Amino acid sequence: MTAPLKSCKTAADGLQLLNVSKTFDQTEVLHDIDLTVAPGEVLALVGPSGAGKTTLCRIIAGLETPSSGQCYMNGTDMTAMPPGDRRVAMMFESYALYPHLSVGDNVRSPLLARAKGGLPPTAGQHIEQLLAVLEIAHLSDRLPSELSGGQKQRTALARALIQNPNALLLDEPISHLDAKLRHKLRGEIRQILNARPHPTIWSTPDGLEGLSVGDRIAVLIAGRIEQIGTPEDIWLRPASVKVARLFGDPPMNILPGELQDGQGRIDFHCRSMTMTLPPALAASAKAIKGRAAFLGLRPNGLTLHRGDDQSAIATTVYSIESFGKYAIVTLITPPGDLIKLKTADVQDLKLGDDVGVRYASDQLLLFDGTTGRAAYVYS
Amino acid sequence: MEQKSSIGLGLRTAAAVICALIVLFPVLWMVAMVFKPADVMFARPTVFFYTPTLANFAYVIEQGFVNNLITSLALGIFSTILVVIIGTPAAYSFARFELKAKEDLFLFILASRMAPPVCLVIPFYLIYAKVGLLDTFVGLSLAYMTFNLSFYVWVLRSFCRDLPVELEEAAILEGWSKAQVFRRIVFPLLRNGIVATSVLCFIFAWNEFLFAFMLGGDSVQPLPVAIPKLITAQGVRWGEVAVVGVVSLIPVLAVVVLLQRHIVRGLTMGAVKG
Repeated sequence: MTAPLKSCKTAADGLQLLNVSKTFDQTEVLHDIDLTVAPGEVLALVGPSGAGKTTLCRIIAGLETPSSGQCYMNGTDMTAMPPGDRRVAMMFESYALYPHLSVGDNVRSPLLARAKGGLPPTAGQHIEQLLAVLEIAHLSDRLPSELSGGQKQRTALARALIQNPNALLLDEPISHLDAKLRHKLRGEIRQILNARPHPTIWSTPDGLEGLSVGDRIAVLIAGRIEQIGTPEDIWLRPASVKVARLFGDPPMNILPGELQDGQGRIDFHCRSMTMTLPPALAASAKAIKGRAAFLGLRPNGLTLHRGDDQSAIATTVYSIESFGKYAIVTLITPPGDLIKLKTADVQDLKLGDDVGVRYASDQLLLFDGTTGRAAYVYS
Repeated sequence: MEQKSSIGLGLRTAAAVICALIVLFPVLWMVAMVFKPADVMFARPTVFFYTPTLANFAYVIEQGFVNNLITSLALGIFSTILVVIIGTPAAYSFARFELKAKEDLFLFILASRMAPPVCLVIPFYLIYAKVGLLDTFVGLSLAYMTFNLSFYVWVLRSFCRDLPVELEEAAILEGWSKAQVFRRIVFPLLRNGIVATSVLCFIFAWNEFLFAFMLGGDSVQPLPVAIPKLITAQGVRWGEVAVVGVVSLIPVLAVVVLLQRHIVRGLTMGAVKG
């Protein structure tokens, strides 16, 4: 899924970035970004804050010029095109609603801008329909200052969607809403986007949000694309430790250690435990044996084990966060590594209990200790 | 408890009334003088009950003070309009665009306000005498404009800076031209700031004496310059002075009352984000 992207330099349709870099005052904010978003596709741009997500959106919109590289829209180079001519709709993180215009006028604004000699007679109906779909039709006469966060967000979305754009950029569209609303809108917006013919970029710092809304995910960390792939790719086969840390709730446990060459096998050794790699992992880890490595343990791939067991990692219960149906248990190993696991089985578990942790051998991930890149090839 | 707080409220109200009276006393005194006949003007003991007279008004009108009033109004309005037309784009540019030596230029603009006016009136006089602007309405308006422009640009720039750039960017992306963005988005949002600042400019022009005295000559005489005409060989005509004083309060009060909504919003805009 990741490999062909760089080679398809002549994609006729959709949005394409080639070798885009951006430098502000000698600080490189974006480094050599290659990205293609097909018509109708939603690409989730996931990265921690400060990774360059907003800058990337602004470059696509034309609000920033790239220091090098090109942007193509449906095969046309639009790198030097003024922002107003690109027909790229962007929803700003701050929503950027015009405070002196009503909801209806905010949404009407982009249509007015492009209408030569007045709005077409169908425009009013078109706006009403969209507002109805977004459940803000009754707020049409209100000013933005009279709206709640979720209503502002819907208005900003309506203003972007009404434009029938060449590409839609949603810059952290639901980050500032409360968890319940975020959950609701995530599904709703995705539903609306399903029927849309244009490429969409949805930027978010939340890995899970990215996984749930994106047809594909591009992971942007410190201005570089770490990985592009389907949600499954990203989840099952993170390309680096950084990617692995970004996805999952709670994030994956990463133990630093080194690979030791045993007789006919490879052992991962760290201060908390020594473990013989399962054969599949050992085969792909050969290249880095004898070197530093990170072992990734998924919180939901771990099980608690009470009682004496040589194969389990010895730990003590450090904290228990109960979420009703499941709990996140933080365990501490004698040398002081923290391991989080997600389990439904926390009855009569108390702080300070000595417990063992077992891992499913097909849930292990291994990363090169120097580069942080994945050191496994799972089929 | 309730009783205590109502006593507190009474005390606070009384304190506020006393403060207001102290501040307003000279104004009230002046208002009282307006209808007083000359013989009881300074009578001791003070005469509180007298037959009100309009003689003071009659004299003032007879002396042509209506013209001075019109001159004052026209000067204030015209110079303020000039300031708004020139200063608004300037302030916006200083807030938004990359300019060479922007901060230096900006400080230079403010510096033109730092010198005491009396230092500038002589160069103004000499230059105006050369170019024929002495004793002209346009000349005096331009002089007020140069003074107010620096103040206006300085204040309005901070209003411009408070506008999120993203609003303009969103409009640009929608396909509006830069001029349309200014007219549709920037100007309406700056309106409160523009009104509040230009009212202050108007008041400055309205009250100005020195430049009007030096540069206006006999042909352009706003009210502050005309008032000394009431110091006559027979003595100061206090009743008439009071009439002119009270009348000259009215336009400023009217402007403030009519535009209060904008002024209050404008003056607090930086502090309270909507």
